[in-house]
Amino acid sequence: MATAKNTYQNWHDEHLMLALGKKDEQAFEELYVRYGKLMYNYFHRMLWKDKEKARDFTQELFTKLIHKPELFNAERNFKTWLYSIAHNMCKNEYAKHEVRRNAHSEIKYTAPGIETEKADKNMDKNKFKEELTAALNELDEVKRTTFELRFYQEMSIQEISEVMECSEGTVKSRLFYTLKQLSEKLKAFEHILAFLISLMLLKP
Amino acid sequence: MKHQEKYDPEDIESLLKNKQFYELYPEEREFVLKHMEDEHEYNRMRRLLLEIQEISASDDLLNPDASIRKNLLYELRKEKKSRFVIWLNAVFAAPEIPWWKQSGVRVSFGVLILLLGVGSILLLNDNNPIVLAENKQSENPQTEEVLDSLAKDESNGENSEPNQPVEISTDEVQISEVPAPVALADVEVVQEEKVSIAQSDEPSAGASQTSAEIADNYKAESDQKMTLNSIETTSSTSPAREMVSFNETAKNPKSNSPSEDGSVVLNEHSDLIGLLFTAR
Repeated sequence: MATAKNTYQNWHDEHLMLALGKKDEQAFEELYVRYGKLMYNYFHRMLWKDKEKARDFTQELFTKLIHKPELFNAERNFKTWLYSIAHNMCKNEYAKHEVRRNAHSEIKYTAPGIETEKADKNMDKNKFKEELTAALNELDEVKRTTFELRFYQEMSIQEISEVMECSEGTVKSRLFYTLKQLSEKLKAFEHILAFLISLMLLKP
Repeated sequence: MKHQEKYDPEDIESLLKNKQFYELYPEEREFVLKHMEDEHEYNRMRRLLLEIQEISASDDLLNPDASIRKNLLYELRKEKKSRFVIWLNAVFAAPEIPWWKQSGVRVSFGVLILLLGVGSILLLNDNNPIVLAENKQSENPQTEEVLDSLAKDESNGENSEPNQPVEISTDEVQISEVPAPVALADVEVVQEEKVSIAQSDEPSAGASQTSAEIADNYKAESDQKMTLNSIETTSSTSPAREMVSFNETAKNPKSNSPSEDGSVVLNEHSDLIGLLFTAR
């Protein structure tokens, strides 16, 4: 049994997906180990940090793999294919809850100019995280998805272009202007950022 | 211009990650300042980018609920089972078979095709009947000589010498079957004629026969007549050839007396003989 598990660990994602098409349980287990956690966190960040929605979407995503394995094209990269399905699921969800998303972002976003006398790293960091999340929620879904895939999912420019179905130049351009827009919104945290960056640079 | 071609807006990210503003080359600085206001903005963007990378790297990923995996395995096993269809009234599981693959349909198709094939063969045979036997006619040079002699005799008429007996070579006789009523009717007519002649009081010229001898002659002639009539009838009904020969030679066609060797003289049946040979 251990030998069989090791065998599946050495398989490529595409081979595992083909085996899942034949209802191989161990192939499914291996795929879930590799991508279950990633997809859960992706949905959690993309869907307003709603754990319930993240769980439902993760289950729905893998259920599609079980019931319709023939949809997978073996010539394509499995990871980008999986993320493209997840991206489309999120797009549909945004279309359904457009109003709710805007209301949520207004509550969470704090006005610029807040200053802290004591540079508490953890508190500032957490504050900065909250503000960053709020600022990301204000972005349109295309820029937000690009940013998420690049900086949180650590995908390459080429992989993002396959998921978003656009050119690499378009992906780079979107990343630049998203970064610029965020820096404008988070001007208030400039000194905090400087402090955090300096701490980071001083790390051994 | 080369500097502008060397760097694209999308390459700014790599510059922001790797270099501070004062570390940029002149051409890089020139390029960056085309997309940013000043050094201050460059530095602000660089700090944000680095912090985001730090956050994403340090953040602990959330673990999904165990119920997700459990539900998914249940779905997978259910999908496995649905492949087979178990009939309640059967012992073994039988997979679903499309209607055109079922054995009954296949057998009926096969029988239909077989019937069509046999029917087409029978229809073709009606148009071209099978010939089981063929009557062959052997070429006999003597036959042509006889025909010539007969033709000459007819043309000469009374001046001709008394008909010499016609010798015909013996060959195998193959006489096709004749409708019995037609042949019998002709034989009866001929027999009546012969009987009437035999019963007349005036003897024929040159005849000095007894009644018994006459009866024998008539019998022989009637047999030949039947034979000739059968041939004539057959030739008119079917294209098959007939080969007829006689085992008897006719010496004196006008005399009713038998020849010395027992053969019968053909005198009144020359026209039938002509028909015989033309029938070939």
